[in-house]
Amino acid sequence: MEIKVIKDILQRNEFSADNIRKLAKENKWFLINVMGSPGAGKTSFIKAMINTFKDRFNLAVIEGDVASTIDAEEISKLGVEVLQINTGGACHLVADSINEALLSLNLKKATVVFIENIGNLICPSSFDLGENMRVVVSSVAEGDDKPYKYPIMFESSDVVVLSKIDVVEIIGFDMEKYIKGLKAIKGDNLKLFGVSFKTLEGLTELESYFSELFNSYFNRK
Amino acid sequence: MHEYFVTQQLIKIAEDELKEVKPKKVLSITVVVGELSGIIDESLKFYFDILTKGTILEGSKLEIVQKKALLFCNSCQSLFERTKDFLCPKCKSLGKLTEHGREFYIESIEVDDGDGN
Ligand SMILES: [Zn+2]
Repeated sequence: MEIKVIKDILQRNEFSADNIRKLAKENKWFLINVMGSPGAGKTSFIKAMINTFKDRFNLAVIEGDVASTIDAEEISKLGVEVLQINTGGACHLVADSINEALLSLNLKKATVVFIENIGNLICPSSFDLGENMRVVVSSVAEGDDKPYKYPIMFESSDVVVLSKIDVVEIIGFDMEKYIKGLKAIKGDNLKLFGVSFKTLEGLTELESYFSELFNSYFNRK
Repeated sequence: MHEYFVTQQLIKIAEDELKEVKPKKVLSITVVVGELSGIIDESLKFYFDILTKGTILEGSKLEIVQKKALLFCNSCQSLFERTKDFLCPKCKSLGKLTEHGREFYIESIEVDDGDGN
């Protein structure tokens, strides 16, 4: 006999993610899932955001890492609450552990929570963390073919931060090709910010985008 | 890779499905895996054999049906297999992602329910 099943294998993660969405809504938390390759600039992005916004909003960070605590230590020096999740080898965070992390962080109402996911361009995109938005940090150093090779990561993200734009010339990064690939995936919904966390180029645009976003989220009734 | 987690979930779902049936033996479970799903077949098989130990699925065979990623070309209205630059092989226009290639689900479970079939 044959049983037809056809069921989403990720349904159990979805259950936890829904729970997080409920929690976030009740407490006015704004969760940002930050994804990207190792070394793309995820931590630099979060640090830049902390420096810009820590005086205006409540901030917290959930640091996912395979094993180390290096990024968490660096971030806690900036004076925001940080919780480290070691996945012990897993390649992405799951909603269950974010749920736990949120509860143990003792967050205030109206807090922006940055979730630094594990560095890779495949696995994290499949797992809903109940986040309000997804940011993928993609660096010039990784090459201009990333949207073509890992389309689902870019498709699943609301904002693309292209980092290390100070080395576009040196690397021979084909910006036109990169943007073309992104447009094929995102259409008119593409929100792309080119930045360098080293030279601070492009940071103003990035900050004003998030500034507006947080303002409208926390000021709504 | 996240196949460990995913395989755990897969086994749980299959077990749930089989609760009502209470088969004598599970023969095989067929899973559809798209190229863009992020699931690596080999890892899935590796974990399946380990994680099914002691469950109703122990000894069953994991069959994987692979699905290619297909892009859609708006200019010539054709579906084509993903190319390196997303360009349609027929008319060289830029293609768009479709639902083809994202599949990841249990298609069927074959069991021996004790009445010889
Ligand atoms: Zn065409």
